[in-house]
Amino acid sequence: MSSERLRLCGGIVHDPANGIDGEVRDICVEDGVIVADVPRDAPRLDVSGMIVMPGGVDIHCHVASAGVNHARRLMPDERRHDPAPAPQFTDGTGRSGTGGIVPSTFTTGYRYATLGYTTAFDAAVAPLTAKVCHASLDDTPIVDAGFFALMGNDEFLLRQIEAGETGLARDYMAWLLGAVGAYAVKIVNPGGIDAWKAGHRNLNTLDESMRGDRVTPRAILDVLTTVANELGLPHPVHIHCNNLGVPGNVATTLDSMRVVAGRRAHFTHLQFHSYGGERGKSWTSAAAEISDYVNAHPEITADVGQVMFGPALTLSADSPLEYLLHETTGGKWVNLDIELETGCGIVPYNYEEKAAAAALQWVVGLELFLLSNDPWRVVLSTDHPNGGSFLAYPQLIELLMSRDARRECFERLNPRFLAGSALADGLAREYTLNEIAIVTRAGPARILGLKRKGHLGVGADADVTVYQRSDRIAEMFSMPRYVLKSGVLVVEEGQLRRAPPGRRLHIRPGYDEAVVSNIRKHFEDFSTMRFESYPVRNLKDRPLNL
Amino acid sequence: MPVSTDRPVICLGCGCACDDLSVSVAAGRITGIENACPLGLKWFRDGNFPAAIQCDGVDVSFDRAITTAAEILFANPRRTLIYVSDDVSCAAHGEATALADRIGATIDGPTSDTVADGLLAAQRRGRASATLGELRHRADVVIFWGVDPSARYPRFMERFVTPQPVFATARTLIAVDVDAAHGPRVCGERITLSSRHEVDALSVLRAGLRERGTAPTEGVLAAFVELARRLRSDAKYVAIIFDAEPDDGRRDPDLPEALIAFTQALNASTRAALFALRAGGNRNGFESLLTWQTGFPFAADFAGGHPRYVTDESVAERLSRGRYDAVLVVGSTVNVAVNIAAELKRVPTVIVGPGASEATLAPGVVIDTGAVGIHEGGMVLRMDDVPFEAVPLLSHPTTAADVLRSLSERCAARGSLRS
Ligand code: SF4
Ligand SMILES: [Zn+2]
Repeated sequence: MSSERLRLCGGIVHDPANGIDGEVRDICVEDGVIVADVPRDAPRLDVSGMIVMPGGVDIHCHVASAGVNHARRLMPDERRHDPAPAPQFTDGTGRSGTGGIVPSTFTTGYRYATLGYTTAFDAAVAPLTAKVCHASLDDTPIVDAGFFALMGNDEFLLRQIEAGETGLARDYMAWLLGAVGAYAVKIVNPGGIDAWKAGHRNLNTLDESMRGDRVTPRAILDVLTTVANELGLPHPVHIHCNNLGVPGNVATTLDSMRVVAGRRAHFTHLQFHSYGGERGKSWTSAAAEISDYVNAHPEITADVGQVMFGPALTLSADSPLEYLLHETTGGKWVNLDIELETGCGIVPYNYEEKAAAAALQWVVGLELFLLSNDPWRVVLSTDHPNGGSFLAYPQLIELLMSRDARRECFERLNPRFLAGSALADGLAREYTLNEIAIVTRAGPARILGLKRKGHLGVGADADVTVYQRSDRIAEMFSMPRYVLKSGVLVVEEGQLRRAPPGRRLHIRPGYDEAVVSNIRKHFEDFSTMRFESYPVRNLKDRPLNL
Repeated sequence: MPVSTDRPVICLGCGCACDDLSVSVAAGRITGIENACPLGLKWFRDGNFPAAIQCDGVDVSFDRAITTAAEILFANPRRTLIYVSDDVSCAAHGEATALADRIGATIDGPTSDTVADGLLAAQRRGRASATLGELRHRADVVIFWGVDPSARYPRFMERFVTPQPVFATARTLIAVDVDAAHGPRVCGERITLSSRHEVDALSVLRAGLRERGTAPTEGVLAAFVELARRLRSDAKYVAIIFDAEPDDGRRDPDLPEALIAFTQALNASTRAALFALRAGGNRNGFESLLTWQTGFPFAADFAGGHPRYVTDESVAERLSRGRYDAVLVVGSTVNVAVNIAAELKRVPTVIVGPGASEATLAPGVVIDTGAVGIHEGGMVLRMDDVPFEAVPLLSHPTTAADVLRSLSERCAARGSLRS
């Protein structure tokens, strides 16, 4: 199939990475990649008048980790109401499943593809459980996928930071990425999860420590960001700051950004980290302050983590935060402490328009989008399923493109915390189609360092989404007419037709072999797993060239 | 000359998944195993498993067996049960689930008759738990709730409880002896309890956490008021251990939920984790895989064209009321419960798994396969859902995954059974 040639004819192409903003052009595909031309007799697909973009790239979602699977298991009732019968493929290989806020794996792959997304990254995997993630991704068809390995509370790293052994930290991080088949380094609530496991509730500033003065969130951010940059990783470091969701956390977030100043770093679900006010007293939007800082610092990138009204499920390595949420909701709560590495917390949640906090969160997210002066650096996410499902991306795109859609929703909100926010004062900006193409594909691909994704230039993977032009924006983005994945036409006339397996995106940086004896000793002293049992073996795809 | 494997070997004799065994093999047999407990030695046997393919006790070709199996299983596929038992890899679990999906069968396993109460309780409430390394290194109080792991999880104590903790200075072991189910002898403290009062005792413990200065409960439960007070004020990380799959089935159905609720509540004042002792054979692996493929950890019925969660009755109950016309057992039958084995004698059955031809279940089609961890690699999960990669030691001509794939292909050749 992938060796077949295809010419997409007459579409209106949005390929911002190559400076193409709505030009009518043909896109040619051969052997799964974009080529300059194909012979005249190659098969043609007439897409005249339709919008052509690269396939969507989800920089931050939770779809395949062991934690996601625990979350799936926690919600049997909602999936009763969202059965997902098998799509009818000619070869009979379609698989049924269930949906809900955390769909089963096959259904996840199908739904991403029918949304025009062809690449996705699970943003939080405990390395100890990486094998489960790979096996789940093997059962998540179509999308090319990878994951970020949790390192911000890693026992080995905390010990190296305490001992000032930055070199060992660097070699360990490089080894770990390769050993478990990960794509990037993830930091979640640096030091805070370790503190929670040790019986302290959390860490509240960057200078607190529970292990002696040297192991502070500041030091963890500094060392891991430095190392990730030195290693030349395609996506250096993916940071979920301390104090997520807490009023007044803007101070922590700006402090964290200053720590990494001058080095590449990605701040994730920034919405949850952009609040003013004071715990127990007031709660305001600090999106303007955060945006000012991000706009002025080109080394910083971010995804927004927009909340969308309706049911969600919070799922995070940030287990102290999840405990706080559980205290608020009083409902279901999962906590899993993961030896030597991290934690996992899960709490179902519902964002209601009439809830003051949820209304503020919705506003903060949109402000971050609308106040950003560089769509390449502030990209789209809902932190699926934390802020809402990935299936809500089309509605989010509509909110970005239509001031009227925003106003209509804004008027229904609980206004308690909204006075004086930029959105309340009326933000007129409307995203263009080209800007949407940036925040949903070109931008995330560039931030992730994926050279063959997010654009339609020669040599790019032939991941292409074709939309029927319409004024009903959400509808247009929720039902692409055609989707190509690696040159295979997976969606035709809006119907899922084929589901080839996706590729695994992972890296294997080099490191000084001398570190292995230290790691081996660490396993002997502390792990319940033998060192030899830890690595992921037999990954089906080769690591990306660095 | 026996050869030893270069990688440490993993045992699936129980849910501890010890991965520090070293095994020697010679002439197609296991000739030596180091570090395994007696249960583990029994699980490996000498590595020599049968390789028969039979219909009604008569040797047949693979093709013939698949044809007959297909006739049995696809005759009325919505009334077929695929029963996933022990000792096969997650790859085989995946093929079994794909087959169930394709033909509209029900897929389920031992979970349904053993740990279902606990899984359902965790679906209602969530849970507070941890990987076993947190027990080993962090717990300063360990409570054994009506179980001494040494009987059915022989190396559990040695691996996860006895070692000096790294993040705690000392460790207190407390046994709650429930009827004859006593905690380990090494426990420095014991409380005796009747199984009739288990759930009440946990309510008392919870109440003791919530309210300061509760009026002391008189009688048998008084000790729990005191225990709650001490846990609240002195403990830093409490590990509670219970047997999720007790041999004798002794179990108040409300017990798992009461244990979960108490452990969760403890986290308001200290840290706490509940550890469920689970059998081996990669049962956790099947629950995980079925969850990611269907959303449900067991009891998935595909008759409607998509998975539906059918937890009202256990497999034994469904079999006894004649819900199924045919059963495909995938995996070892060694630990199939007596009542289920009895029911299987009354239904046409196909068995695909290690030692299938030795099964004393119903006559029907049997296809021997290798066992994961002995003849096949692949992912397997420990009782705390931590994954390992099994190491193949010996060869076997047939894998369960291949047999299931052949069945799926046979089904495809007949056209989709799904309407
Ligand atoms: S404790 Fe369990 S896993 Fe370990 S050797 Fe014994 S039977 Fe095998
Ligand atoms: Zn996230």
